[in-house]
Amino acid sequence: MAYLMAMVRDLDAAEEVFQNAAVVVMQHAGSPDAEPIRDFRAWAKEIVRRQALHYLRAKGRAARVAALEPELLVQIDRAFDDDATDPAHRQRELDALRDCATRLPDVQRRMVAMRYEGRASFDAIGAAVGRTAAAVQRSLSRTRRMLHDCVQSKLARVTGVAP
Amino acid sequence: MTSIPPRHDDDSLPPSRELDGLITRHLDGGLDAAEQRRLAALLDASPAARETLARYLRLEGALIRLASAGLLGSPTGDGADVEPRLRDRAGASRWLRPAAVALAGSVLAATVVAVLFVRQPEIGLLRGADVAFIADRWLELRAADAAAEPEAQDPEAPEVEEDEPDAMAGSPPGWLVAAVADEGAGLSRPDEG
Repeated sequence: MAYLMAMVRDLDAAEEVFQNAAVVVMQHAGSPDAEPIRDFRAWAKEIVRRQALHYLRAKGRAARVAALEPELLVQIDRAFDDDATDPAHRQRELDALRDCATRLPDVQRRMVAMRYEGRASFDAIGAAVGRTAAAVQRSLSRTRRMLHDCVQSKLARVTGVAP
Repeated sequence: MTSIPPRHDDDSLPPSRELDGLITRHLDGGLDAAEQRRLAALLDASPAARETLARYLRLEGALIRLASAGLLGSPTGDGADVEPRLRDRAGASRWLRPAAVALAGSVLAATVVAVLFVRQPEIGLLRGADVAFIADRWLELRAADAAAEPEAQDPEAPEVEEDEPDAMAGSPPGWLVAAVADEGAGLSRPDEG
């Protein structure tokens, strides 16, 4: 989902693309003539990638987000492909994030929850917290950075490696 | 290697903060074309920059996962102020959910069984990230369904603590439990040894 988010930059769109990709995967799995899959991750990623590009072509103009520059897509692919983080480390990141999220100032935690749990738009969040949509977008961007730094700091304390 | 386009806004930012800012704004769709090209150039120029992007993508995935389990802290008292996006999504894609969950479960279960027991050489080992990929999706679907159909909950069920993840997300299906357990068991690839 994070890979999809990096491409379509919208949670609802990412979900829609994921579901479409899942249907393609299932159709392949259910086909008696299906070719054997040697690398599930690479195969599934390519399906997701194609579905996301199809979505951006089909709905990009009507979407709120700008088109994705091809050179950025290449770099997102590289980052995703090169990321060999093991599941145990991902779990440590998840645990650290959960703790870091509880330490956010109340209004920031509310905005994060509204954005990720309620899938609220910047306008809706702004109306709820008394800020403009642009201010909400900036605040959420800063909050991601805070959470990232907090998680890295926590992991560094656990592993003894500087972030 | 492409040359790095110059920043066109705040030249006072240190490089790492600029990269972080571009990445986080990108995830909200906040970058224009020139900023996207600037971000691409920074990523192309540095493996460390791509590692930073990967960390932010993992963070994004973790945020989605926590949100799906209701662990980010619901905006108390603001429910009426927020767009009813979950209800909209439930209506837009409801027909896909049961099929998606059932078929994803079947595919994963079949793959895990094949890897563990049949060990057909043509099927690669399902990596942890793939399990997390599907587990994330399952958690999201559970959360969305729970939000869309609150009347389906058992009124006599005991109240649970807010910070109890299993209680918030519901019990995972057997295939997911098995897959996650296997993921932590340090399985070797079927084509090894």
